[in-house]
Amino acid sequence: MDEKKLTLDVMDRGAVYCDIRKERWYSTVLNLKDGVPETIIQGEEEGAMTRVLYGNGWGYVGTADMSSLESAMDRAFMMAKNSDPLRKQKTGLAHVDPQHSKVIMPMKEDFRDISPEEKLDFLRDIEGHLKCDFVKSTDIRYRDTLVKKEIITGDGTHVEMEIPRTVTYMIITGKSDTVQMAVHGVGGTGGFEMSRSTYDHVDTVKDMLKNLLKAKSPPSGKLPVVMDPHLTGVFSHEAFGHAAEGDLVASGNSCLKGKIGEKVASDMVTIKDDPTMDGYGTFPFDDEGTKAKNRILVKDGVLNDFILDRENAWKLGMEPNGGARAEDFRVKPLVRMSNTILEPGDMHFEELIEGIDRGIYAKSTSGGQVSPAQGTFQFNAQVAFLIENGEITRPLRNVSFNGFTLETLQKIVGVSKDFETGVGHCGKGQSAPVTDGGANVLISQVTVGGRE
Amino acid sequence: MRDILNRLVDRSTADHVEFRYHRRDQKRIEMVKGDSEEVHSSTYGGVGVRVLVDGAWGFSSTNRTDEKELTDTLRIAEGAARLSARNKKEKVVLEDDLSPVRGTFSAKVNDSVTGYSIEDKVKLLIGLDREMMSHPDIVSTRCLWNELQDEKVIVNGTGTDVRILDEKVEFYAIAYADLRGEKVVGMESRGVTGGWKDLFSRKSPGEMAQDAVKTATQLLKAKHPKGGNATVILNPELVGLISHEAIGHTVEADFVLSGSVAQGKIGQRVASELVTMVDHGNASPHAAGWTPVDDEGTPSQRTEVIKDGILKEYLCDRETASLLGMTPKGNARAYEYSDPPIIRMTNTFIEPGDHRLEELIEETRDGYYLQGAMGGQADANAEFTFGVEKAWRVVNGELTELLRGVSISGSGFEVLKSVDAVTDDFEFQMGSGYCGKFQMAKVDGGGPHLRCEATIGGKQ
Amino acid sequence: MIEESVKSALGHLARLNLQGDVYGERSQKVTFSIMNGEIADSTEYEDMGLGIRVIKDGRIGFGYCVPGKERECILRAAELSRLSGTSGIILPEEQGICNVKTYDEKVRNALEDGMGSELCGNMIDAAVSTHKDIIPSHGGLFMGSGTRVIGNTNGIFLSQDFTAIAGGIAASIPGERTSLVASESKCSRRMDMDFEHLGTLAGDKVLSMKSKSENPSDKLPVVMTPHAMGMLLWFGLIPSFNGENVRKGKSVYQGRIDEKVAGENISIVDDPTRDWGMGSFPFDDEGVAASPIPLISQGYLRHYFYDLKEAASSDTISTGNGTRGSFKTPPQIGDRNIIITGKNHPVQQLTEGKVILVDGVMGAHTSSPASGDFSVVANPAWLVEDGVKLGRLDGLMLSGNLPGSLETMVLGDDYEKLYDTIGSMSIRMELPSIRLTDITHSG
Repeated sequence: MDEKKLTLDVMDRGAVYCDIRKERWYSTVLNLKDGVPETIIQGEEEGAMTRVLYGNGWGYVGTADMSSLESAMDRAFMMAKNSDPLRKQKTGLAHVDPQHSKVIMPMKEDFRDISPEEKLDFLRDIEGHLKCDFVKSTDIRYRDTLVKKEIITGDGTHVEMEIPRTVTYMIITGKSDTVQMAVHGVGGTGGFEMSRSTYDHVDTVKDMLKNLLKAKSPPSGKLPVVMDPHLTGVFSHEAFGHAAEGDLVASGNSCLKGKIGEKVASDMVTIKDDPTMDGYGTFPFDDEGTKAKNRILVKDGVLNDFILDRENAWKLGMEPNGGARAEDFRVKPLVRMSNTILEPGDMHFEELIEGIDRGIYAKSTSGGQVSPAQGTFQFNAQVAFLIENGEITRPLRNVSFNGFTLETLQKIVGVSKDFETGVGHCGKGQSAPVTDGGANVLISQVTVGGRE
Repeated sequence: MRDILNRLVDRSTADHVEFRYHRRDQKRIEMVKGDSEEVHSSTYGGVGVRVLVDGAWGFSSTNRTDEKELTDTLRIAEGAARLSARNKKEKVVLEDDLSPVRGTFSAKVNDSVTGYSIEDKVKLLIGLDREMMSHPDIVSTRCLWNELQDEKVIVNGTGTDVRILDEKVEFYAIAYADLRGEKVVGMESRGVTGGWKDLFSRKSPGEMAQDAVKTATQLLKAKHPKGGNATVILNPELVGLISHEAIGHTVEADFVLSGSVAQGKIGQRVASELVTMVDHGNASPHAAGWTPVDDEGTPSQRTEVIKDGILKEYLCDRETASLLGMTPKGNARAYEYSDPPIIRMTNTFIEPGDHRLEELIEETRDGYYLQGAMGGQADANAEFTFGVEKAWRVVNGELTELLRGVSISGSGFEVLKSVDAVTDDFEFQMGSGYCGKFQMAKVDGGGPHLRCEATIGGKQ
Repeated sequence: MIEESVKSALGHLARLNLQGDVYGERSQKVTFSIMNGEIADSTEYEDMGLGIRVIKDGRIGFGYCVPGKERECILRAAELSRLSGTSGIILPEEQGICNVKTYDEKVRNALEDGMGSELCGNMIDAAVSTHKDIIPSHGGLFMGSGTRVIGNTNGIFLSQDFTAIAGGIAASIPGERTSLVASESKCSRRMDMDFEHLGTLAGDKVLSMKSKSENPSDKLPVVMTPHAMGMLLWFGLIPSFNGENVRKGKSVYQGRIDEKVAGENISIVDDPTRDWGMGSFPFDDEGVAASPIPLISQGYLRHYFYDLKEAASSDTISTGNGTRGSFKTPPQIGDRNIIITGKNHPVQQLTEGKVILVDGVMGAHTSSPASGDFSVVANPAWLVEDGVKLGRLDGLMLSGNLPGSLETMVLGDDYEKLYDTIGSMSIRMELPSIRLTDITHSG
């Protein structure tokens, strides 16, 4: 059955909107634990998700059986039609110009041409570089994924794309008075060349562990904190980015609701979420077929935009900007981030720390919690350093800090010109590959706590 | 109802007991581009009971009002107080130099908004949204309507037995323009205690919508400012905002006791001698923070927080007043029946002086005239940063160009110390907002225009 | 259809002269999600796929695919097997399989007829009608039905249908900075759930959180609801029965078989042969016949659990604890249907006197399975006197040691089934409320 015709038939039956998203995934997963292959998986799968909006009611039906696409679409239509009278809230979709395009995102080094054996040898070689006297165990996790997608909508969009993604995580542990662990991931949208650069980060993760092993507990109280680019990225994503997700804004679950044009951060802060730049969260079209756009969320401290799919753009009276992403064909798209960046400024790192009598330099993160509705955050740094009289003195571990996001953004008093990004998977019911990044950032005061 | 409550007060074995019946009708309409709308209408109410036993508080609430349920609720509050009393080292003592208050207090309402149907209000908002959208530069709009009709009965062990009938209403018209991907906003809002005529006494809804569009389109052509320290003239909204956010919270007695910057500063000079800052729940019948009697049954009195530049008083409830040797003046407020009262501001403002605004501008060689706030934050150290909606550059006594993306920051007390002129006009301009401190509160703020020194932020 | 696909894969394995097993799953699921007081949407999905494990010279390769691609998948997996280390894994042969009830036609019909929205609506209405301030802020309903098939080159071919239904609702009372939230959830394999009751329970629960008590400074007994206790046990105690953890020295129970480790009344059994258990199944995900495994019997440690791979490493036999998160993941060792039994007391007896009642814990995943020590935040929790909730307790920290608590814990009689997934692992338990007396609380 021709999918184009399928969508048009549903529109003829009175649907406001419908679409079909077909996906085929190819994945290789390799896990090398202390030099021994622990998991080796290759697989492929396919499936499709159909969506229908009838009146104010949605229906989503997916299937792994591509021969039953027509009946899936029909069930979605019935589901939408049945739920319409039950919906209390009006809904709609903001207009987008129909897209017709096929985009194949390039791989410089096609990972399909590299045998699992060669990939494993590569991981073994990384392992060799990681091993040393203080590294007691290693765990290297590699994954490459190629997804081929096709999106056909009832209002004229038909796009195809192929997105390759590669990622390698290095996890190393050592022991001093207690067992310590350091984690670092390297990857992006592209082929095996993404993994080649893992070598450049071997020293990063080893340094982190080395410092953790001799680290002490931090002071607590309100202190100036310098976040490294990785932590700045995670802070921008977790503490700020989620609150800028259109679905949370429209449903009143964001502290940023109604604040477009308002001052929400210090003048030095510009935060963007950009699916068009190089990163792990890059894509040409989102999972509704909307062309991906760079969104400047905060410009010079003023809230400027949200991340929007078509439905939430309609609810907020704004322009969709390609914010709809689904983990795979089993689930509907949600409003998600892509590559979230706090733009670098013009200061040198030394200028950031030179005026600090007593403070913390916090690097990378080992987790945390945020509440977008209340605008609060709590993060743990992976490793940190004490700053005394303008100089970095000794390493610290178990550093956590917390506060109100908007208050903290106002207290950013220095942004360096350095720029780095990191990869991660963001969880919001579904998992999405993302890049977070930024510069070294000085917060004049934040509550730091230690735990032992 | 009042009979039951009075009976229960008499029957309670607690050292002090407070019953607060609170019924609220709320209607909220939000319109986007005259199309997507949300209408919420709700009616709810209940009774909150607070008791003091052996120097410890217990609080409980219920949404039912029969005598049996209220007896149970009282019992639970008493149980909770008794339990926490066992662990409490410092016993709560109440300021008790109070005379009981009785009677009914009604808000002064001209043309109650309850006389208009929800359809009329939705229609008004759609019309305004569409009108704003019809301007070629406007890409999106929002209109908001919110109204609260409250009935409260406060009965307590001091002998207080009052009924308060209150109506508060807010309206917002917001227009968004787009400058190459950068959003530019024009906003007009007002909130009052009162009715339709009170809400629109300054401008009609149509004028407010037009002004929002005018601001947004003016700002499209505006430039960014140069940052740095500058002489600024603040309009009443910004004066109210700094009084409330930067100064007001630091003088709330609970924050004072936990170490705010105002601790131990009574009698000290904290502002220019031109500055007298007041909080008063009964300052004006239409100010949005109108609170004739607070939720502990204390009638509202004028609190001169700063008198001629000297810090005089903190804002207290009965507990902290006794602790600090001050007088409670009606700042114990709860947002809903299910919230216990805590220390809140009401209407916070700076008293007018004797300069004329025109003179002030004429005298200013180099500075900014700032109108309206767009977001911001302040902390317990009185450090603040606020976005400014419209900033006019003042050169040689004249308003020259309009700037956008301007922010103002500084230390609240330092800024007030630098005040060198206070105008003779006065307005409450903060009534459309809420204050959040564990619970919400309807507040207002304002004052005259002030001239002072502050840090201007922005990028050029 | 999925059976044919598994048979076809087994045929290819035979023709290629390879050893291995093939797991197939076909399922249909529907979820209704609740947002801000109404059903925001419903998603239906029909999934299917195969996970193929090829064993060549004792080396394992794993691949997954959609039906029709069996041969390519096998060839790839065979290629991958060269890269792995050797394991002495031995695939099971034909065994006697017991009869376990896992499929209820009524759930299947309800799913097909789209009855979920009505049931979900009942749950919302019930929660809303408890009190006007209450918003069912999130939650949802899940129904699933499907077939699992496992076959291997030793002649095993097993297939079983299953159904499941679950509902959860979080009732919240919004406040500016702190909203009160309480949730209720239940699950079943049968069409025997009362969703209205679930909504009412959630509403009543959040109402009972409106008044706040001060955190007690004197040490009180702690009563954990099945949900809170289940999470704590799953993270902090059950891993100690895992054969791999035992072998690697990450279990408090290493080398302690037949020792007394719990009160005489306490038994913990992993029993997948119970009719309608959330983790019940007549065979495990590697085709090993299910049987009840007593882990602790009347206070004495009796068994650890094993899958095929760990059995080979530990030189023992599989206890039927090979589990898979989906057809995409290789089998891993895991618990199946944990049941806590012993002397049961009426649940009212548990809350006699003054106690702390805990309905949820945050941070259970930070418990140390190697020591059984835990430190969690209780949320929600209440101060209770003689069964009456006096007020909620905020930010209460609980810490203790689970293996130690087994000596003194007292079981209620209000058994609940739990079902949850954490990554590719599943929590499937049945237990009552439990009163603990040796918990330190602070905050």
